[in-house]
Formats: sequence, C-alpha cells, structure tokens
Amino acid sequence: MSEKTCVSREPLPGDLAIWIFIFAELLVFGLFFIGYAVARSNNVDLFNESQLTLNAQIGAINTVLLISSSYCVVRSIRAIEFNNLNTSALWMLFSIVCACFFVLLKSHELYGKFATGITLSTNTFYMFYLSLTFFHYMHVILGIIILVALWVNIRAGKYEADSKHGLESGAAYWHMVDLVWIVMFPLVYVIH
Amino acid sequence: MMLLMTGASYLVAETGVSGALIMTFVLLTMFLKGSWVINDFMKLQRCALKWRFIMHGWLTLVVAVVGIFTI
Repeated sequence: MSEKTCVSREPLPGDLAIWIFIFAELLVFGLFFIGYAVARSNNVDLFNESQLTLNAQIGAINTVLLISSSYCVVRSIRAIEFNNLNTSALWMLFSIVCACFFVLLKSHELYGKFATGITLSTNTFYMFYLSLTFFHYMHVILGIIILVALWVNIRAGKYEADSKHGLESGAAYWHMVDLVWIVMFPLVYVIH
Repeated sequence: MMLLMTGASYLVAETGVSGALIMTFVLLTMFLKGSWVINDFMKLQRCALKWRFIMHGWLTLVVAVVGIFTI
C-alpha cells in the first residue's frame, strides 16, 4: 500500500502534493484566525464597533455561494464517476458561476470599504478584516482559474471514472477555500 | 442543513443578540459545517486516520482557540 493510500477503504482524493499545499495554506489561515481571536480579546469594544460597519448579508450570501459551488464540484466528480461528461461539465460550470458571483460581491464589499477611506492602518480590526478577506479573495480567484481549467479538461474528455486524479486535486483545493470561508464568516461577521 | 446553519448565523449577526450560549451555538455551527466539508466534500471520511486527524485537528484547534478567547 503506497504512502498516500488510505488504510481503510478509499484513497486520498487527488495528488499528495496538493494536500501538502492545502495543509500549508490551512496552517497560515489558522494562525491568522488565532491572531484575530487574540487581538479581539484585547480590543473587544473596538472589534464590535468596527464589525457593525460590515454587511453580514453579503457575508451570508457569499457563504451560500461558496457552499453551493463546492457542492457543484462534488456533483461534477460524481458525474465523471459515471463517465457522464456533459453533466459533469454542467455542474462545473454552475460551480464557476457561483464562484464568480462570490468575487463580484466581495469586490463590491472591498471597494466600498476602500471608498470610505478604510485601510489596513485604520485600526486593528480592519487590519485583520482586510488582510484576511483579501488573502482569501486571492485564493478564490486562483480557485476560479483552476475550476475553469478543470471545466475545459472535462469538455476535452480528459477525465474518466478511473482517471480523475487531476479533477480531484483541483476539487480538494476548492473545498479548502470553502472550508476557510466557513470559519471566516462567523469569526469576522458574526461573533461579537 | 449547512445553508440553514448559515442563515442562523446571519440572524445572530443581524439581530445583534449575544451571550455565551449564542456564541457557543455559532461556534458549533462553524465546527459542524467545517466537518461536513472535510468528510463529505473532501471525501476524507473513509481515509486513513492521519489525514482526518490533520484536517479535523486543524478545525478543532481553530474553533477551540476562538471559543476560549471569545466566550
């Protein structure tokens, strides 16, 4: 049994390299989250007051979009397992559309903040808010590029039921982006 | 269920309700949604313990530390 093969029933989806990358990314985001929590505990009033300027509705819609996008990727892989390329490509396209709406809403939100003169140096809350969300935003953009590449490959017939390693690797990265947002939304927009 | 939990978290943010119990609920939804992504989306549920340990360990650690400094 190879190193990246799971002991029980199923192999680790995708390449081991992408998982090493995912673990490294989660480590960085985890440190950011812990840093945010510690900084917040030292400035509760400032964080609560600044948090009121955020649009929780956009945050919640973005959560729904990312969860939906991740779900569509799951369905896309499921379709490939039945060698149904057209269905798989369609699910992947839905996923890309959801991700693009996320970027649109996030761009609108970030632009609104910058337009009102808020910067990284405005206060500690905004320093964390802007760096965390922008860092994640860049990951979403990279994720969209990966999803588009996967969609092109699906349409080109490069994946099959027994040959979907690349698809699973890209999917694992996208689910990581979703996982990070699932933690970030309550942390930044909700907890007060 | 994940969307319902997101809706519940949104209501907490919009209504401004707070308190240890509410924040525990928010952290619990964060943990459950993260676990679902790891198990069902990433398909790690049936993988070797070491992989699940890394992913669930990360999630548990983050939620626990946030909880300690929040509640």
